Amino acid sequence: MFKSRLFIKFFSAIMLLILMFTILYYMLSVPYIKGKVYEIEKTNAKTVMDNVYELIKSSDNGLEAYKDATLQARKEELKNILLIVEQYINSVNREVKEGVISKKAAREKILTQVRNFKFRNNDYIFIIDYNGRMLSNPTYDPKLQGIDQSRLVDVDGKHLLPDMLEIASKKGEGYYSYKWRRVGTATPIDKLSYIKKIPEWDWVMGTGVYIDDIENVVNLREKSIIEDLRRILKKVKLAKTGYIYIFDTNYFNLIHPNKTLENVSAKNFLNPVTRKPLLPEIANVADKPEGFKYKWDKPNDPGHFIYDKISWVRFYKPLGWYICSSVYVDELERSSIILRNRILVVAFTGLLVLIPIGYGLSRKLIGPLRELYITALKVKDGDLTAKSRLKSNDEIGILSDTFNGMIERLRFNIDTLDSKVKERTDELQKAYDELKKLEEMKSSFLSSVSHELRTPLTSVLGFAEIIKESFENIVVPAVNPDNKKVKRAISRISENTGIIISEGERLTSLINDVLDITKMEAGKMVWKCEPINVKDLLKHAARATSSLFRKRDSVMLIIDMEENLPDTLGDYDRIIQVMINLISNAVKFTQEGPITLTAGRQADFLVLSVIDTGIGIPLGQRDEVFEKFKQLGNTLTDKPRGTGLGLPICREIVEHHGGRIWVESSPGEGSTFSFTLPIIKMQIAVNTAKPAPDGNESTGVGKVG
Amino acid sequence: MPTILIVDDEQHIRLLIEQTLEELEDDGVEILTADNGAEALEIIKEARPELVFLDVMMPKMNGFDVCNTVKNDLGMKSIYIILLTAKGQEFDKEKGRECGSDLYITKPFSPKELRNKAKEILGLQ
Repeated sequence: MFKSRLFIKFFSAIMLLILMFTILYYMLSVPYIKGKVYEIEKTNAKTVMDNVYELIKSSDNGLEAYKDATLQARKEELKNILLIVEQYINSVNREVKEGVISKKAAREKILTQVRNFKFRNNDYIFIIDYNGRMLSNPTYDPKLQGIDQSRLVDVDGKHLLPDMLEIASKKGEGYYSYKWRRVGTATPIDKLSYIKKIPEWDWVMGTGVYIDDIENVVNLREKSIIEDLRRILKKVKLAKTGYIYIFDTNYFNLIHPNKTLENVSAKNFLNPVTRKPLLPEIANVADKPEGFKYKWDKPNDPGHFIYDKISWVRFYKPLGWYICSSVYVDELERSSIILRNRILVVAFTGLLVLIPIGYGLSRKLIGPLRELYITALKVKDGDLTAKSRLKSNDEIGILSDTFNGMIERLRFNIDTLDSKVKERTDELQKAYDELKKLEEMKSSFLSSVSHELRTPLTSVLGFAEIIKESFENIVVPAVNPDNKKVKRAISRISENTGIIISEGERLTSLINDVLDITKMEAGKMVWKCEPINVKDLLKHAARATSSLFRKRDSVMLIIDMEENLPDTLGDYDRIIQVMINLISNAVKFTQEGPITLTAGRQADFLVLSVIDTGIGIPLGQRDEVFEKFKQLGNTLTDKPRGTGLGLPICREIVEHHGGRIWVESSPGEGSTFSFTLPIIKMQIAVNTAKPAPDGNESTGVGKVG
Repeated sequence: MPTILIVDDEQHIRLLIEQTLEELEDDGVEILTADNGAEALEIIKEARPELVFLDVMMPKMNGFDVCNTVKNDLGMKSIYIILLTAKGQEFDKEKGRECGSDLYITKPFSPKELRNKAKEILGLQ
C-alpha cells in the first residue's frame, strides 16, 4: 500500500491538513487563552483582595456598630441608673412631705446614699448644686465635698460644671462628653456623662462612663476579627503561592502568612532593585489598578531576588490598613502554561489517533482505486476476463460496476471485431489464395509455354543449322559456281538460314528473359548465396563475351580494377548475367572504340561499371532504359535489337542483392552503366558449386553437380 | 561398337539429334532411339549404350526417373547420360545430381556443339 503514489499523496495530504489544523487551533487558541487566563488570574487575585477588603470593611463596620450599640446601652444604663436614683430621691422627698424625716435629714440621707452608690467598675453618681458646688462625688477628696467646683476644667481646659449646669437648666437632662482621669490612673480618657436636674433640691446629678471601657470591649472584638482575618487569609492563595498581607500606616505587618513577618515592623524592608524601603513604594500604589511590580525571591529559592512579583494594594482608611496581594507573575501565567500544555497533549494525542484513522481512510479510498487500476492494467495487458471485485453502493461501487460494464462491452466489441476480422481475413485469404493460384497458373503457364515454345524452336534452330552446315559443306562445293543464278541462290540461302538462326536465337533469349523476369517478379526465383570474387567475376564475364568481340575488330574490352577488392556474397550466376548483359549492350551500341570494365570500392559497396564509347543516351531516356520493353529509340521506326528485358532483369538482380544500378551518359560520347553490390563478410563458409569454368552459358551446356 | 541412345517424345527432336550425330555412324557408332522412358529403359538394359541423350519431360516415365533407375537401381554407372532440358534457364541441378546424370544441355541447343560433345565423350576426335 505504501508503494502506491496516490496513497502517499492522499495520506500526506490528510496528515498535513491535520497538522495545519492543529497548528491553527494552537495558534488561534493558546495566545488568546493565555491572555485570558492571565487576565482571569489577575482579576481573581484582585477580586480576592477586593473581597478581603470588603470583609475587613464589613468587619470594621460591625465593630463600629457594636461600639455604637455598646455606647447606646451604656447611655441607657446611665439614664436608668439616674432614674432609679431619682425615684429614691422622690421616695425620700415623699417622706419629708409626710413629715417622717426632716428636710435636712433627708438631704443628708440622699447625699450619703448617693455617695455610697456604686455600680459596675467603681462607677458612681455625683451631685452638684446650681451654683456648681460639688455635693457628692465619691472619687473626690472628702475635703472637696461642698466646695465650689465651677472652676473645674478637664485636660482640654473645658469648664465642666457650667457646661453641665447649662444642659440641665435648658433641657432638664442630657449627655456630656469630656476627658477625665480614671480613679487611680494618670491618663485622662474620654468620659461620657448623663446629667439630670433635680428641681426639688436645686441640684444636678450625673453619672458617667469611661469610653475606654467600651473600647476595651471593642478592642477585644477587634483582636478576634484580626485573628479571624489571619485564619481566613492564611487559607487564601492567589495563583499558586500568592498571598494577602496587611500592614498599617506605620508599616507594621499586621497579618502575614509568614509567621516571622507577622507582627513585626517592615519599615526597613528594602526593594532589592531600588534599595529603597519597599512598603512605602507599595503603599504608594494603593487603589491603583496597575499594581506594583518588583523583584522578590521564592520560598524554594531564598535569597535570589530575581522573580517578578506583582502587588495590588487597597487602603482601608478607617483602620489605616494597607491590604496587599502579593503574587508571582509566572504563577499568574502558570494556568495558561498548563492549559497550553494540555492543548499540546490533546493535539498530539489527536494526531496520534488521527494517523491510523487517516491511514484507514486513505486505504479505504485508495484501496478500491488500486483494485480498479490493477484490473485496468490486466485489461491493458489483454486480459479481458479481468473484473473488478469491488461491491459497494457508493460512487466507487458505481465506478467499479461501470468499469466492469466497459470491459464487458470492450470484450463484446472485440469478440465481434474478431469474428468480423476473421470473416474478412478469410475472404481476403480466399482472394489471396485465388490470386496465388492465378499467379501460379500464370507462372506454370509461362513455364509450359516456354517449354512448348522451346521444343519447336529447338527443331527450327537445329534444323536450320544442320541445313546451313550441310548446304555449305556438301551442296555448295558440289554445284557449279559459274552459273550466276546458282551463285546468287547459294549466297541467299546461306544468308537466309543465317537470319533464321540469329532470329531463332533472339527468340530463345526473349523467352528466357520473359521467364526470368516473370519468376523474379513473382518471387519464385531461387537465389543462391555464394562467394563472389570480383577478379573472377570480371574474367568470367570477359571470357563469356569474348565471341562478341571476336566478330568486331574495332571494339575491344579493357579491364581496369582496383587492387585488393574484398570478396562478397551473392548469386554468382546472376551477377555474371548482369555483367554479360551490360557488356552485350555496350558492344551493341558501340561502333568502334574501347569498352572498359572497372571495379572499385565506395564505402561498404563494390562498384562495377561498364563504360562504352557508343552513341550515348539522351537525358530523358536514362531512367526509362531500366523499364520493361523500353528500348532506345522509336520502336515503330527503329528495329529493336534486343528483347527489351535485359536492363530490367539487371535491375531486379542488383536490387535483390541490395545494390543500385544507374547510367551516366552524354549522347555521342558514350554511356557508363554502373551497379553496386554491398560488401558482405563471409561468416559461414558457403560451398555452393559454381558452374564448371568451361560451361558455356550461351549454349546452355552445364555439368551436373 | 559404341552405341548412342536418343530418348525424346518429340519426333522432330529425335530426328534432329539423329541427323546431328549421323556422321558419327561413319566411325561405326550405332544410333538407337526411343520415344518414351519405359522403352528407353528396355533398350538400355538390352543394348547397354555408351551415351544416352535423355529428354526430361516425357510421358509415362520422365528423364530423371529413367536416369535414376539406370545409374542407381541398375548400377550402370559407366553409361554417360546427358539430360536434355527445356525447363527454363536454370536446370534443377539438385535433381540432376540425385539421379546421377553426368551433363545437361538446355533446349534449344546447337547441333554442332552437341555433336562435338558426343565425339568427345566417345573419344572419337
